[in-house]
Amino acid sequence: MNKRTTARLDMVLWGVLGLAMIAALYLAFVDAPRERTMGDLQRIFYFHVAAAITGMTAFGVNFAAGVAYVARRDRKWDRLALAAAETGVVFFAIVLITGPIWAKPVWMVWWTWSPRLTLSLVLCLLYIAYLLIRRYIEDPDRRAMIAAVFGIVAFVDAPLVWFSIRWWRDIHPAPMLESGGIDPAMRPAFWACVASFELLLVYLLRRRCALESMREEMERLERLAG
Amino acid sequence: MNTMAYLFTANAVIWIVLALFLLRIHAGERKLREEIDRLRRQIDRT
Repeated sequence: MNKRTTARLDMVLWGVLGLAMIAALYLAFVDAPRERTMGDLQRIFYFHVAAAITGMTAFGVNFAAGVAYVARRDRKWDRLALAAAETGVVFFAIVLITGPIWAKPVWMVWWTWSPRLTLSLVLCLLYIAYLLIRRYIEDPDRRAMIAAVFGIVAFVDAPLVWFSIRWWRDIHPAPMLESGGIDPAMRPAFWACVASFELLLVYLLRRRCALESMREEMERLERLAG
Repeated sequence: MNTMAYLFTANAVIWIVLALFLLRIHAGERKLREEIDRLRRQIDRT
């Protein structure tokens, strides 16, 4: 893909993303009905859950890119894995900050060591460790391979986070998606938030991968310049 | 804090975190572009 096509694609993606974000904000804060028990506080959930789903998607991309790197040894998969891990940490940071802000007035505590919360924190810490490990390995091939293996192993925690509220007793709200527990009037807001965050993930991954390509180009030029 | 204050705080956090991440990527791109241009000029001179 040449530079002009890439720039045009980025412009289109940016435009669609902007419209999706405006639609999501309107649906979450204006269109969606006020929840009976929690009132407006429940509106935190639209972006909190969307951030969790998007963070999980990012870690899934990291896992897939790690597997692809181990199989093919192509650096583009390592760039994608790094971009996905970093973006996933950002989305999970949002989850871990907005969760307690919702929990304080509802549960009367900021944090509790329930399986879902604890495993989510562990998942985020695992990917922070992934990013730190990358910083301390100089050799690019060795770094890519160790990071790929670490990312594949770290992803084991993701299904545990997802299924924790089904497998163990947990204070965290029950899964609404499968049980159909979400009010039909709230569904457009919920799915609009998920769609807009997933689009944002695509945009961020593209930008972050491009940044990593530039870093590799700079390292190549530095070697040339001596 | 009342309900609206919690709602406002949570949303402020979301958009501030995302904006900071985007700014960090943008700043990194600008810095690397300048460095790449400088190195290209240096290689062309030698």
